[in-house]
Amino acid sequence: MRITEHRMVELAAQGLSTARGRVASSAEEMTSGLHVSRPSQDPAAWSEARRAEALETINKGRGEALARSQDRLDQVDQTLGQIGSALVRARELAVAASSATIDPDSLAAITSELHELRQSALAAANTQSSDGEYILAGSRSAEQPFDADGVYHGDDASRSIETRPGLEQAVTVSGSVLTASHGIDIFAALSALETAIGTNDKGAITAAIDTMRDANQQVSSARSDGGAKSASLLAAQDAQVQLNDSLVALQTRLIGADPIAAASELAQHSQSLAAAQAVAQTIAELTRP
Amino acid sequence: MSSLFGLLNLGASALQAQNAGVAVTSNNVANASTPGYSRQRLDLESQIGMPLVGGVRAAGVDRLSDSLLAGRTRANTGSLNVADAFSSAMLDVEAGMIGPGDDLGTLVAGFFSGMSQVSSSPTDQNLRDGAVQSANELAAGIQRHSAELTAARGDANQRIREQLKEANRLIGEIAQANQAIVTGDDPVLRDRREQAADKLAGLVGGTARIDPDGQMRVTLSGGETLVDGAHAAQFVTTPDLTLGNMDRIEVVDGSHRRDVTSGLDGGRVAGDLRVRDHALPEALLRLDQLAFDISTSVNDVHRQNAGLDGDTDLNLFTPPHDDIIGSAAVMNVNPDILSDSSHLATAAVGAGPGDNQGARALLALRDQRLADGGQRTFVDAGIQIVADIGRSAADAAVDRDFFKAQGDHLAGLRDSVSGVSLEEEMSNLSQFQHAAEAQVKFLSTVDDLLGTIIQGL
Repeated sequence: MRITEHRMVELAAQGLSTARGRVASSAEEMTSGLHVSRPSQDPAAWSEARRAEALETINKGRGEALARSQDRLDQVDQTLGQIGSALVRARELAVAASSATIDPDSLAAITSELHELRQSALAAANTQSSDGEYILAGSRSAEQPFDADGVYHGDDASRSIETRPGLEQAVTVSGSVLTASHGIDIFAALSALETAIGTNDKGAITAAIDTMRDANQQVSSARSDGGAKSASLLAAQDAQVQLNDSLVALQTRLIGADPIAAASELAQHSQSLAAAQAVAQTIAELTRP
Repeated sequence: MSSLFGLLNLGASALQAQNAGVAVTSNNVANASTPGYSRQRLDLESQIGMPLVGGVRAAGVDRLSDSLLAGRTRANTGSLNVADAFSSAMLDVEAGMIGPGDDLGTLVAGFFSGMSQVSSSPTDQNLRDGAVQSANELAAGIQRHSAELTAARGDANQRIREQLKEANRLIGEIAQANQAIVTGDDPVLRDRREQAADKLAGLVGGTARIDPDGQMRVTLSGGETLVDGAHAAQFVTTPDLTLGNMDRIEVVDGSHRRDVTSGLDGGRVAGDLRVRDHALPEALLRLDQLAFDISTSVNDVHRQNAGLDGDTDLNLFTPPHDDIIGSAAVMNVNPDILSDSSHLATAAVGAGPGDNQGARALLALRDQRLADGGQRTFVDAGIQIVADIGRSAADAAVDRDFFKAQGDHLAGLRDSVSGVSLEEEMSNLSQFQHAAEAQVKFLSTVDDLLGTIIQGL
């Protein structure tokens, strides 16, 4: 086959262009850290990576929801802890008040402390989260759940969120756990005790000792329920972090550049370019008239 | 036996022939790099004469070309340019759809992530605003992609219009060359005509054959004649509502008009037509379908739930038209919800504002196969639209590379026949020069002989 000088120069130029393209492509891979940056480079890998990225976005949202619910449950635990402590102290005061030898001044002091305890327990039951939500109000969380008399205006609704893909779990504790629907109406019991001590009704005071114990158990049981939810959320958060890591790893595996392979490829293509340049120069010399 | 004067004539004509050889060789060397130039060769012919007289004369100049090879090259160029135009256009579209914050899958995922977050604290104003914002970003992203695809269609239409103007110019050039060749067969005109035919094939495909009368006839694959001798048809473009106001393409030859919009299958115009009339409308339709499916599914759930204020029966997205086509271009978040996120229906009807059943019901749409006729989730459908654009660009790039490799091979073959080799021409030049010098020497010898004879008289 006849090969003209013009054709030789053309072939050399094509070779140079191809070699330059390969160097540019390798350099882009090195600098971007991506082996596949456009769907046209590898549609299947790109799609899988985008799917992993979308799942990562969804998983992050789930993670934030889990963290927020976890904070809320921690706050509920703290609140119920305060109410439980108040009930323990109320029982101690009831025991002291039930003594036949107690003097009126001490009784008055106990009444006063009990009133304070009730008020602080009520305040705790009306605790708001940082975003202004009443944490023990059930679904009526925009309004204060307990009024000054300790009457509950919230509902029994429990909020569930997605903890793992396709799995939901309740993440709230309703203030109804402090009401008669769960055994003892705690604020009514505290009020009754306050009245009994104020009137020095030894029979009622003695009866209230057991009520306070039972009320505390009721609160402990609610705390325990919240703790179980919290533990489950912690496990879900761990799973969420692991899923996130695996999704990031999957994206890297699908479209990320292997730095060593990319560097080696760049070196190889640079050598090819140098060789192509040498060939082009030789051809230019050969075809010079 | 010839006379000395006869020998002088023989030498003179031989000298002329060798000089013509030098001229042809010089012309070849001068055009060694001229695109489309086919090398020429002097056709030397022995003179018929008495024994021992004869001589040589330049019978003409041959243009070295292979019409079969030229036809194969043109066919390959037509196919190469279909793939190249399609691939380039689709790569541009792809680039517009994968910019930061543009990825459809991530936008859909962002919407559901917003719902997931608001489900953990439905009364949190910041979370509600965030969820509405992510819905707005999704709608805006879909709208933006719709506008990009529509603009890309318009760009393809504009390119087609420009390419057909150039095609019309080339058709005219070929017809003019045909006319000129009738009166005088100039190799340069043939080269130019070949080059124009190559360019025309690169734009609209078709075939160009040279008939025994030396005239080139160019026809499209559907049989429409573009050039027949000195007669030229023209491409005419007319905006057509049935094509979405894109141009209809007709071949007009006098009073005869023929619609070739769907019949062109070669050259850049065919590549751009595939983009304009097939790939982009399909992508747009899928985007419209996605917008329609998301809007209707989300709205159906949203209407059944209530906002913080207890409002119910509200659409989250402005409801799409009954017709799916155009849904992406008009996708918007309900302005009432956009301006006040308390209307976002995160709670069940009758429940308190802290209830999240509405948000969870919206979130549940994420994993349901509600897109592409129940084939895919919304996230997958969004990803697939862009992936398929990339896939079609990649497939076309593979075709382009194949035809390019074939084109390189054909270019080598063409060069082998028609290309100018400087070494060969230098050798020819040297040969003609030496022959001319020998003729001069021969003439000088005859002249000496004549002088001797004349002096002897």
